[in-house]
Amino acid sequence: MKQFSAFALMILMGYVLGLFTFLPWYSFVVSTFLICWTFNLKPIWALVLSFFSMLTLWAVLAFYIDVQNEHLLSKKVAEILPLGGSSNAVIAVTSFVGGLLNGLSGWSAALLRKAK
Amino acid sequence: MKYLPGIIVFVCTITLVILLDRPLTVGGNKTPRLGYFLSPQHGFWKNAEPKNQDWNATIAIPGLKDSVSVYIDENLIPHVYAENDEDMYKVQGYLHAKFRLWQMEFQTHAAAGRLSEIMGEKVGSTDFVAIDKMFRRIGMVYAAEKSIEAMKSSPDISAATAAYAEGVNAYIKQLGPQDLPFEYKLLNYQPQEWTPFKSALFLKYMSFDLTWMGLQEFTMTNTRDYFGYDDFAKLFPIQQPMTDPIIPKGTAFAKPSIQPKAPSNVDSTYFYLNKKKGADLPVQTDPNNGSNNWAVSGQLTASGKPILCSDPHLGLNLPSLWFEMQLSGPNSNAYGASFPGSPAIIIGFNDSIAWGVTNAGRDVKDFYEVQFKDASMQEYMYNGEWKKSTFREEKIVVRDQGEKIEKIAMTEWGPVMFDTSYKNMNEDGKYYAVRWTAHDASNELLTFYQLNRAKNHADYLAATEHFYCPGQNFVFASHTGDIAIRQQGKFPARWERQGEFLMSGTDSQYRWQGMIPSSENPYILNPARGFVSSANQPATDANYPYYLGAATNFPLFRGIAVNQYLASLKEPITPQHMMQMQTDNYNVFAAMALPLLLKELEGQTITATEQKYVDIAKSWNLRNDINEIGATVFHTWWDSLEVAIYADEYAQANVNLRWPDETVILEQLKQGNLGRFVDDITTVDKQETIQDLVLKAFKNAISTIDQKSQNQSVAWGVWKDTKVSHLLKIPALSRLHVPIGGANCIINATTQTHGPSWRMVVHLTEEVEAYCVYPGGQSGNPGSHYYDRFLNDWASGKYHKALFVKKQKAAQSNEMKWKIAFIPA
Repeated sequence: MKQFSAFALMILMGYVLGLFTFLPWYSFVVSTFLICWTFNLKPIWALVLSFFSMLTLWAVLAFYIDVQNEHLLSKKVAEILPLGGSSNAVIAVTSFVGGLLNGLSGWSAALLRKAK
Repeated sequence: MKYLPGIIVFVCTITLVILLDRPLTVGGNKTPRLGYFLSPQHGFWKNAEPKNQDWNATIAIPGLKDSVSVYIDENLIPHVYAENDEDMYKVQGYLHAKFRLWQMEFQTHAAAGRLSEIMGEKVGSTDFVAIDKMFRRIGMVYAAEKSIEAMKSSPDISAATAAYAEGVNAYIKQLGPQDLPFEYKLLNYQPQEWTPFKSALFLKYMSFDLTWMGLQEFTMTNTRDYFGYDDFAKLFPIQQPMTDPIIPKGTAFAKPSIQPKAPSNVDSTYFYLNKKKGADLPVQTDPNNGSNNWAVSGQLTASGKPILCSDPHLGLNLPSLWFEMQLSGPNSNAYGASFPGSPAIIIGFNDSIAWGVTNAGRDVKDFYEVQFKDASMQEYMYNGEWKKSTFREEKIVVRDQGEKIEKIAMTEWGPVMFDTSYKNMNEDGKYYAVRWTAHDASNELLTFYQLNRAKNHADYLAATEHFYCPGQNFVFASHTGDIAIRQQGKFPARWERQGEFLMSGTDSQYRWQGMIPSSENPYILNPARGFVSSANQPATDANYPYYLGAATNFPLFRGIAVNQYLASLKEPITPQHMMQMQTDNYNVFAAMALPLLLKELEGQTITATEQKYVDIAKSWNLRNDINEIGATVFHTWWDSLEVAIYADEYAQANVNLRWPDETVILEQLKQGNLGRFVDDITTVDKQETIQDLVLKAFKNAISTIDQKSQNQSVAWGVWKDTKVSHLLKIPALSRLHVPIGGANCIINATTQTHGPSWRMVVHLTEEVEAYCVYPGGQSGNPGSHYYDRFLNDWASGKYHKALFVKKQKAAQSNEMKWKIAFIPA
């Protein structure tokens, strides 16, 4: 239950902070750190949950936008980056970047809390 | 010790945040800030516009006097209905910014020599500092400063440009980081405040594009001095017999009020043998920059009302140079193509009249050699005395690197573009100043402002009076039945060939001895033939009492094609005929040249493969349609012939020379005399004939075509391979391989990178009926479905009908899909 709550809260906070666009795009790093610290998760759980929470959020957001846009821009970006012109590759990279950063943040919080 | 794992991971997290939040250098290029760029709530995903985007909105703008209604049709064309002019231009500025902000700023940065501020010193092989230096040294900022002074003295224009800037800034101010146009996110920078000065810069950029004409004074001087006067006169004649001028041949002109006199030593003083071949400028203006326009009178149309057509040919880019809109206010109701970056409609129509432009092509820029006392450039010789120069310091800010200062001496003639710190292409160590009408204070925007409001022929004449640079052929038609064309601009009265070569800057006799009064500019109203037209050809025949410039400044074939086409129309003309005509691919150049080539080839020994291509050429319908292989054969053969005639002589000269025009070679072929150039000087014991060269050219051309035909189609559309490039030249943001025919000698003047940037047909009936299209789309956002919405239609020769309606009708029309209500904040 604790794991699920932390997971849901990380997604929610990531999304809500993202709505305040005057805040930096990486604000979720702070919320995730605080959530993992507060919930006192095992480091491995913190890593897995925070990684997948932001991966899920960014994948869903990007996928939704991409479908609405009929893949127009993602295909162009996939040529520029370059990712072989594949929309799905751009969504994958997007969500992985979000997941990786969030995972490290949550993991570091849990490790530090555990050491305390 | 127990904290160590946590600290390590924590440091990794921070490091990753930092890395993802800054541009990284990969392979010499900068990446975007990847975390920001990829964030679905901040980055590029926010520019991925839903296909069914809802454009309805209520937007509050500070300083608006009344509310302004904007109805938007299915093509994303806004129809602005304002209660006063200031509100109208404020909303125009806002809408331009909403759909084209990045482009507006990028283009004015280019004009101002500020690209390295955003692009850095170099990207790939593009040296932005070199480009910026060039624009500073030709005096673009200086020109815009002069122009802004003139604009300030006109209350209408200062109010319009100020309101426009406020509108742009109102849009910029409400932008969050997530709303920035795609390119800002990609290149990682922020938009800056818009000012009327930027509008002036943009208009100067158009002057540059249409009148700068590169370093032709250098190449013409070199060519004359390398080949000698006689050969030069044959390669670059003053007039071309095939010219079909804008003002019909045989028209009489009044006596000139200025009679420029050439200095007695004009031929001897400037003959010098240059020995070096240095680099040309980093940015070239396209010699294809031209256009077509024409108007047919009611005598020739089915409705009895005039039809006006205009298609300006410019570099094909995305986002497009043009933005289509309707601007309706208390004293005006205009529709047409506007420039993102400037208030008003530039090419278009209103309830009473229509107007269009083509480039006059007159030479309004010269280079003068300045003799300074010493390298400090403090004093220069002028009429036997030392005169003091002033200086401009142009500060170029290079991203991530700091500033570079260009110190430019200013003289009687203008800015000293070339000095010891900035070498000219002859690398002769001399100083050259630029005299250019773009540097003179002028207020071209007033012309468009007044044309938007013009009711009749007299208003059109009064409006065009303010237009100095770039000189344009303003075509006109009115609902009341007048048609007219006027070549308007500020043109120096030149002695024959003045300014075609480098001139002495020490002697005031070499100055322009006066500007031709605009009342003496070429102009015609309601001619007997029932139409007026222009396509960048010389404005008049030799009866005109002023020197128009060397024939090489003017393309001739389109003018012939347009006039032939109009004269050949037998049935009463409708807008549909005119749309067909604007997209016509008949090749008048090939019609003249191909029979000559085929005749010279007759009886010569060729292979079976070559014979196949002869048959293709013979059965070709002389149209540059996409599927025609004949067009490929003709153009490749011709290009190869030019090389066969001239490349041997030109290759020997270790200086920058100018290549003769196709019309010159065509005339010489007609006469069967290519002069001494017919001999291939690389063969020792043989004197070649025209037949030899035509055969050699044919064999070379067919070998190239046949080789390519193994792997690809060699039909004209594929061979020419038109592309519409994004301003940053990023292929993913460009449209490549656009299936469209045409060529620069054809009414549909589409080349690989250049062509009709706007096509308009206006029928001046009671309720004006108009059709428009351009190779782009209303949105500048590569993530929008409107980004290139018109491109396929443009390529296939289709138009959309302009919804030119009054406010009440717009409010009820179900063709208006969305409404933006602008209200005072």
